[in-house]
Parts: sequence; C-alpha cells; structure tokens
Amino acid sequence: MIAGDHNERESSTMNLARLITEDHIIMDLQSTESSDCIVEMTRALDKTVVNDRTELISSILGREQLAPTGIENGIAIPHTKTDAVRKPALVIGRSRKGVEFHANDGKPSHLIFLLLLPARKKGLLFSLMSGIIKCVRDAEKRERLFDTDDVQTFMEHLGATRLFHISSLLEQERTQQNVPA
Amino acid sequence: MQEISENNGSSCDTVCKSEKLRIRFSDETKLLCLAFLVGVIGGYGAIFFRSMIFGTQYVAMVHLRNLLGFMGPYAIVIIPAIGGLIVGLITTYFASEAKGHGVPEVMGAVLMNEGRIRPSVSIAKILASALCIGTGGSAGREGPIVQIGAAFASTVAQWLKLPPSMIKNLVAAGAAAGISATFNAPLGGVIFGLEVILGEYRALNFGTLVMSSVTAAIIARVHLGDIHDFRLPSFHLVSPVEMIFYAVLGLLAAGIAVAFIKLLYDTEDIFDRFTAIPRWVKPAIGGLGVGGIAIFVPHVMGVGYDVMAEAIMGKYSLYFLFALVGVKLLSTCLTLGSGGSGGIFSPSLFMGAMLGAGMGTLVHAWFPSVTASPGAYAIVGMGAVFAAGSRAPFTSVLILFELTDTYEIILPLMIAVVVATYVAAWLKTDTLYTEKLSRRGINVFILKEKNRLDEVRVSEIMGSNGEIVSHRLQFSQVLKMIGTTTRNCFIAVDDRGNLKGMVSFKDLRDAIFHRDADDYLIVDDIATNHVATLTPCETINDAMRKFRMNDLDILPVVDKEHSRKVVGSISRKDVLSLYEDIELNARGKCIL
Repeated sequence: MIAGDHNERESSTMNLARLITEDHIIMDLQSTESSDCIVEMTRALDKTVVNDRTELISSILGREQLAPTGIENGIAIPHTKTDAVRKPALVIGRSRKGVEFHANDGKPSHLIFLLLLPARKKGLLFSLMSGIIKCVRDAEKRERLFDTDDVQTFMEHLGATRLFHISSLLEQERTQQNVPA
Repeated sequence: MQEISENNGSSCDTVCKSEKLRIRFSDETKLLCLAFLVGVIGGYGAIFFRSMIFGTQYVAMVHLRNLLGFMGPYAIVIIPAIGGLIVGLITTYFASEAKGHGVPEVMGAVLMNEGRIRPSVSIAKILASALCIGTGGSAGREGPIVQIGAAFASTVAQWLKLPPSMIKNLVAAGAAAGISATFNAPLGGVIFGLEVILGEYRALNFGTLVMSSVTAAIIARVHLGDIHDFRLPSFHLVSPVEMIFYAVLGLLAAGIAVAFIKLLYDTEDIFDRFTAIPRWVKPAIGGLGVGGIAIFVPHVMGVGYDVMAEAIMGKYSLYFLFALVGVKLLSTCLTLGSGGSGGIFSPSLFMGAMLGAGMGTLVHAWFPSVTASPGAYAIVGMGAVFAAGSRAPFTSVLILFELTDTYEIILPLMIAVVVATYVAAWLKTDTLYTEKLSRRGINVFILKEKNRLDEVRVSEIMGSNGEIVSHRLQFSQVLKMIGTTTRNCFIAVDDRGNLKGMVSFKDLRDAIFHRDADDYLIVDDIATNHVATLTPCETINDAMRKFRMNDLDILPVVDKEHSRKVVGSISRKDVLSLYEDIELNARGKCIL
C-alpha cells in the first residue's frame, strides 16, 4: 500500500466518522417518493445544524433535478452544498419499501445517505462521498445493514464504531508524534 | 458547449456595438454643448483677466509709482514687493492652488482627482496672477488663464455631476479656450489641451477642444480684434545650410530650458527652507529681488511681449540679448519660486527670443549670405525653448505659427523644436510642468498610462479563457477534458447559458485522492457559485479591482449588470500584461 492510498483512506475515514450519529439515523423511512423521503430525513436535523429548513429542502430538491443521486445496489446519496446548514451533516435512512432515486441500475434505493455541506466546505464532498461509497461497496455488508433493526447494530455494521475507534487512535498517534491534523 | 460560447460571442458584439453607439452619441452631443459654454466662459475669462492685468499695471506703475515718488527710481523695487505681499495673502489664506504657474495643478487634477478643481481656485488665480504680473512680477499670463479656464470648466462639470471622463475632457477644453483666447491661437489651444493636459490624441477629445477653442478665439477677436502679438519682417529660407544653425539653436534652447527647470525648482526649495519666514511674506521677498534687478534691467518685468517684439526687430545689441536671457531666468525664478502667481509660457518665449536673436545676430554677422535676419532666429528660439521646457513640440510649432502668421517659418521652427525637445529629454526626464508633480512623488508618465486603463473596456481584451461547460456535466467527463483543454478553468452554465459558477483547478485538487465519487458528482456540486462577474462595458481597472477582491485567475463576463448570461471571460494574466505594457510605454515616454 502506498503512502497516498493510506492518507486517502485516513482522511475519508476521519471525515465520515465525525458525521455519523445515532440521532441522524432513521431505521424505517415511511416515504416512497424521493422528495417526501428527503423532507422526512431533514426532520432529523435540529437548529444546531439547519439555518433555514425551507431553503435547505429547496436546495436538495434542486440538486435532484440536475442529475440523479441514486447509485447502484440500492444506495442513494442525495446531497447539496448550501448555506442553509451551519455545518456538515449526514442523515442515514433505511427504506424497506425502496425509494426511486433513478439509480443507474434502475433499482429503487433502500439505503439513503443524505449529505449536506455548507458552501464553504464543498471541498469535503469528494472525501465524504468516497467514504460512503467505500463503506457500502461490500455486498455482504449491505445485506447486514438491510437486515438489522437495532440502531447500534446498524452503526456497528456500518463500521461507525470501528470508524470512531480508528479515528481516536489516529488522533492519539498524531498527538504523540506532534503531527498536525 | 462550444455552441454556447459561439452564440454568446456574437450577441456580445451586437450589444456592445449598440451600447457604444448610444453612449457615444449622447456623450458627444452633451460634451460639444458644454464645450461651447466652456469656450464662452474661457474667452470672456481671458479678456477679463487681460483687462485686470492692464488695470493692475496702470494702478501700480502710474498711481502707486507716483505715490512712492519720494523714493525716486527705487520705487520700482517696492512695487513688485507690494504685489507679492498681497499675492502671498491670497495664496496662503484663500486658495493655495493659485500659487505657481497653474498648469501642473491642472495636470495633477486630471491625473489624480478625475479633473475636479475647486471653484474658488478660478477667482483666487485671477486676483493673484493679475496682481503679480501687473505689479511687475516676471511671469506669464498663459499658465494662469489655463488654470482659470480649466477651473471654470471643472466647476460646470461638477455642478452637472458629469462622469470623470467627461470632467477631464472639459477641463482640457477650458485650458484650450484660455490659450486660444490669450494668444489668438485656436489651433495651438487645441493641441495644448491634447498634448499637455490630456497627454493623448483622440477623436472624441479633439472635437470638444476644437469647439471650446474656436468659441474662445471668436470672442477674443470680437472684443480685442484679430491681432497678433508679433509681426515678423518678411522672411524666407535663404539657404538649406541655415538648417544647421537652427539645429544648433535647438541645442542651445534645450540647455536654457533645462537650466530654467532646475533653477526654478531649486529657488522654490531655497525659499521653502526658510520656515521661520511666514509663507505669505515670501512672494514679497521675491518681488523685492525682481524689483532690485529691474532698477538696472526693467525689461524683465511683467510678461515682456513688447521686449520680445523689439528683439525680433533687431533693436538690441548682442551682449544685451544674451544678458537678458540670464536676467529673465533669474527674475522668473525669483517671482515664481518665492510663491508668486503666474505662468512660465511667456518667460520661456522671452528667453528663447533673446537667445535666438542673439544667435541670429552672430550667425548673420558671420554668414550674411546664407542666413536670414536675427528676427527669424528669435521666433524659432521662442518655439524651441518652450518646446524643450514643456516637452510639447506640436503645441509650440502651432502657437508660434499662429502668433507670427508666417508659414515660411515652419521648416526651421520644426527642426529647432525637435532638436530642442529630444536634447532636453535626454538631459532631464521631467518638464517644467511635470517636475512639480514628480517632487510630490507623482510619476506623471505612469499615471497617464494607468488612467488610460479607465478607457480600455473589458470587451476589448476578453476572450474564452475559461472552458464553458454545462453545470449538469458529470465530473468524470470534466476530468477527461482537463487532458485536452488549454483553458485554465471551467465556467458552469445552465441550459440557457446563464452563469451557475466556476470550477478552478484548486477545486479539482480535492478530487485527486477520492476518485470513487467521479461518476456520481456533477459540475454543479463542485463549482463555486458566488463568483464576481464583469460586463463588457466595465473598464480594466474594474477588472483588476475584482481580481484582487476575489483571488481568482479568471472572471466570467456577463452581457450586462444583473444578468447571468455568459459572453466570455477575462484572465488575470491578460490584465497584468496590460499593466506591464503600461510600464514599458511610460518608460518610453519618459524619453520624450
């Protein structure tokens, strides 16, 4: 493994780990339309994250109009950069029925990662998207995520707790070596 | 995406051309009407000023002299001092810009203050200069009338809240009107305004200056008659060999002009050093000095046209002629260097006339069969010294031609003027007018060139520096384009060609290590949305300001303000190249 690869994994790992929280996970989305689904997911965000809810929803839906955010294998990553959010946020939703996000493979999406960034943080988009894609790339992992009903187990399968663990280890290592973050 | 670029380019040309036509028509009409008004004010201002000088002269040299009769011939020492004292009070407490010869102040206003001159300057300058010259100060009336005409024009333009380009144009028109009326030289006035005040020859400026200059000349002729200050005895070029003597005269004229520049400002420095003496007293001291010289050589007092006329007619001896050059130089430096108010135009003509007459006397004595009369050399000398001192050869030739009404003088005049100008430029970069500004740290040549950037529009240098792409384009496609495009950034537009944002290489840097997301992101995801824009009609200075504020290498150009329709782009590199050209041009113009 070359140094560049290691740094790449590390930064996307670091960044994604910080965004996954229990409060922002919806285990059973009720909506079946993409726009309704997005509205439902934004309700998980409180005022510490959202400046202007109406503007936020408008921005996400506007992005959906430009190009589909559904990717293969039942995954969708709707996203936007907007100053309607104060800080980067990630809401993860699971839909048993599936939501149409016009994915490349034509299949409905069952795992939806709503990714929101303030405009000034748009540079994080690549690393976060990359982290999510890597996270759900494995088919077995996706099965485990679809099957469980427990949030903690869900997060475990997502690798969130492991991600947190890795993140804190890396942080300790950096502190000992005085390496800047 | 190429379609979007092509369509936007042709619509931009149409918009720009029609806008330009609209702007040009209404601006030109307005300017010409105002130029007429400025010509009227300038013409009557010149007549009034001339009358004030004659009136002051009468009061000073007749009544005041009678009053001081008990002093005998020494009364002549006191009179310029009294005039200097009053001038000092005016320039200290009313308008400091009224001090000095006036043209540098007008040039400074045009270069640095968008042509704005305080209205009080006109009034102060009339009073101060009339007093200074009328009481015998060694100075000319042309510089003051330039400043008066320019100040009136600036006042009118400021009242009407005109844009800076029009104010500057009218200020030059005011200056042209002053010269035209004073010398009865309308063409010389126009060229003076272009060559000295504006520093450029442009069709739009030419029309305005012609209108004001002709108007002022007509008014002056109606009230003063179509008179010329100098009448040359019949002249013709005796032999082509004579051109060598005229070239030598040019050489000598350059020396006199450079000495004048140096001594004038050195005198100013000397007076400035005496900080214990109140500023308003210093012109009186200068006046005392002039008065002291005038006891022995009264020819140095005032404007001196009558003395010049006599020199042209060959009324003075060789030694006296050369002595007058030095004495006039000293007197003028004392008058103006101490803080008096008046111009350097007439003193330059005076010194040139004496130098030329002196040289003409010599060469005519040595080579009578191949040389013209000393009078011809006197005329040529006038033009050569003024051209060398002001670095305005075109103005010099035309004014002298109009003053003498003798076309045959043109050939020797041009030779001497060109030689004098080039030699003077080689000896000293600054002129009689720019030296004052240089001492304030103002590089006139660079400033003039930089001000030209206000005339250069974005539309003249914009191109297609940015690759225009749809904001829906997949990021993986963008990465493929990087390999083939020569452009430095991507301008994202929607389906109607409206600007959505820009993607720079800095934005792409984050993508290099996270390639998994290439197929799932689009241009809109990574573009910077709030981007400064320019319109084709904005200036290059506007572009530079926006580049500084936004830290971007490319700026998109939209068709008009509050529009988002992209018509092209402009690069920071192109703007900086223009600035580099300015520096080079300015250095080149320093030579001339």
